[in-house]
Amino acid sequence: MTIQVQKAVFNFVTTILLMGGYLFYVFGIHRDVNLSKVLEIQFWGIFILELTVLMVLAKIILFILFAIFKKVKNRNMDEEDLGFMDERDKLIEMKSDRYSHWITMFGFIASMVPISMGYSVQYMFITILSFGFVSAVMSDVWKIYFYNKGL
Amino acid sequence: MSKDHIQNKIRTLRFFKDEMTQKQLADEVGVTRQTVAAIESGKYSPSLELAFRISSVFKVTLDEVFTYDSSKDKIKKK
Repeated sequence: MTIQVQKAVFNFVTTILLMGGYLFYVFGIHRDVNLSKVLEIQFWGIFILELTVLMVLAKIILFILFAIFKKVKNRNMDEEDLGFMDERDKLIEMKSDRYSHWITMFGFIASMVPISMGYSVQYMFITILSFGFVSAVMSDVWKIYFYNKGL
Repeated sequence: MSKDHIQNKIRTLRFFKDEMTQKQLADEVGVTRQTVAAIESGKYSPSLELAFRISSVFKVTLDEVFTYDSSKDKIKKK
């Protein structure tokens, strides 16, 4: 498995674990989250902000740990630079990001459907978050696909 | 896709350059070994700049490294 694919797999796994962990933290540990709270816009604002900060910080820390692990593991090997990206890597990243942005855009449009049908605001946020999560995961899936199958 | 139309002789040229490794070629042209492997296997068509850099490593012209099979073209000519 190449270093680029390893990075994509690592990103894929950590995204799922962090999202799952955060959902468990909010709805599993804090069992005081009841229906009335879920209906508040403030709850979803805090939810998204906390999730964003957690994701950014956790990803930075995990990537540093991943880089240290790779460095220690391949101490005596001529290992390629983790941060190095050539034209093919950039093209793959652009292509997979473009596809994942389509999902995000579709998710945003789809989130307007429950609002227009008169459903409560929680459905809009759940739709946006679901599509955001799917797009983040699919970005890595496409990267793995393009690295294996070619552009 | 155009990548199906582009063939290359990088493997042969590497052989005649003292069995140059993919890593050595990659280092010379400034890409990863995986990119060289992808070009060699036809999974990726390099940019024009990279193609020129590869041909200059072997000191040959571009068409001695890459060939284009226009018979597979699906583009309608105007």
